[in-house]
Amino acid sequence: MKTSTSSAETRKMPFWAVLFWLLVWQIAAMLMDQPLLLVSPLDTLKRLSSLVLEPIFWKSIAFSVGKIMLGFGLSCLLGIVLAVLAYRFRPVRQLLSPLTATIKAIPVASFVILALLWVSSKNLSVLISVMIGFPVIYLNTLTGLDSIDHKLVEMARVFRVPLGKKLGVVYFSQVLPFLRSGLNVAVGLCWKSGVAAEVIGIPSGSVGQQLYNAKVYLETADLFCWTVVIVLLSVACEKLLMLLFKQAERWALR
Amino acid sequence: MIEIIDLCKAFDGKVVLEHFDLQLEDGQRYALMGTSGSGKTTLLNLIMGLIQPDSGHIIAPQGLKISAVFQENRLIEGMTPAANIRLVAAVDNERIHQVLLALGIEEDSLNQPVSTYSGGMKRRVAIARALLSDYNLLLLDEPYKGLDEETRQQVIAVVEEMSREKTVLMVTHNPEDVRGHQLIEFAE
Repeated sequence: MKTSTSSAETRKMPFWAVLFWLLVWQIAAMLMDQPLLLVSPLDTLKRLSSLVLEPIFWKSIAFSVGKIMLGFGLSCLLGIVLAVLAYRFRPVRQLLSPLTATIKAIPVASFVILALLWVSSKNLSVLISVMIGFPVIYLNTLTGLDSIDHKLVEMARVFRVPLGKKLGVVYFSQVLPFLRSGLNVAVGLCWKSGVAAEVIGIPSGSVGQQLYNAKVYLETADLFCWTVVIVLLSVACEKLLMLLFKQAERWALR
Repeated sequence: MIEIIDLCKAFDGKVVLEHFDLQLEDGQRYALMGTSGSGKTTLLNLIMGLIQPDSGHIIAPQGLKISAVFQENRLIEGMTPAANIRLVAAVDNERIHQVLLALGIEEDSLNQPVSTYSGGMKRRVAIARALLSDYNLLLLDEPYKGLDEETRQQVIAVVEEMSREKTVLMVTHNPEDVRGHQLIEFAE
């Protein structure tokens, strides 16, 4: 209980703290007075308000959200299914152990360059999101499964609890905190790595391409704008995911 | 009737049950007493099928439905008492709350998750769960452990009332609990 309260405290973002850092940013930009190096938050906002009127803005967002979230979805599916198999069958766990350790250690950039040899740049962010999200979800789910209290499983057996309820309540309720934290971390990592893949692979009409163009043409305001957009998209996906997760939790523990 | 014939069980070479025989007649109440480690909980676990005997048999009638209060409460901490009970029993909230109130759980606490409950309150939820599930054999492993005297008497009255005409096998260390039960003494 204490841990979850303190982690909730850590995640809390008070409005005054956000305002403070925006002010620091504004003052730093004003003092530097070099918009090519540091664009102020006000100028970023101004540029963003014109950028949202361009069709390419929404097209790029749709492209990247689609690809990165597809990668995230696949990493969830793969991570959860393999974690259940690894929990059930020891050889699967042993087989996957070096693979997950290696994937975790390889830098994203190496992955991206290697992956460019295998898939088209268009689908690069899908593959990278899967590679980065999978070990996080797999290891969290497996840790959750390993920590299941078998006395509760025995209780369910003695009381003849039906399989659906047993899976939903007895297993899910215990794996839930681990899975929630895994998904939360993985969705952020998928965004970071997915956009990094797009910047390197430059698929046409992606957020990564917009970011790359802004850098090449020294459009620093655009660079800041797209960075803000990426942060907002990542946070929005995380919030939406947690909302869906809460619904699933309510359904399973109903 | 449940027949236990020539049951043997050892853990890591330590014999816990040796050629143990017992007959449990339908609708009778039995109290198992004995020193710690004499095999009382092991016997309950064998009857529940949670562990297998090294030799011997347990002959139970077709359709035997077991309910139990385990040595530990074995509740899902994040759920309310009613949700814990509904997991194992097809009863409505009204009946659940009625039983919980009869067991001395305060009305204000009924919608709180079990994690906020004291040890004694959790014990009473575990007892309510066992009583409300569908069963014909009730196994109780030190069910009144951790309850103060007044609550204990209140809980005993509810258990006796709700398990009337069912077969009950209770493990206890308290000689007072044996009243109304056939005593089975366990020697180490």
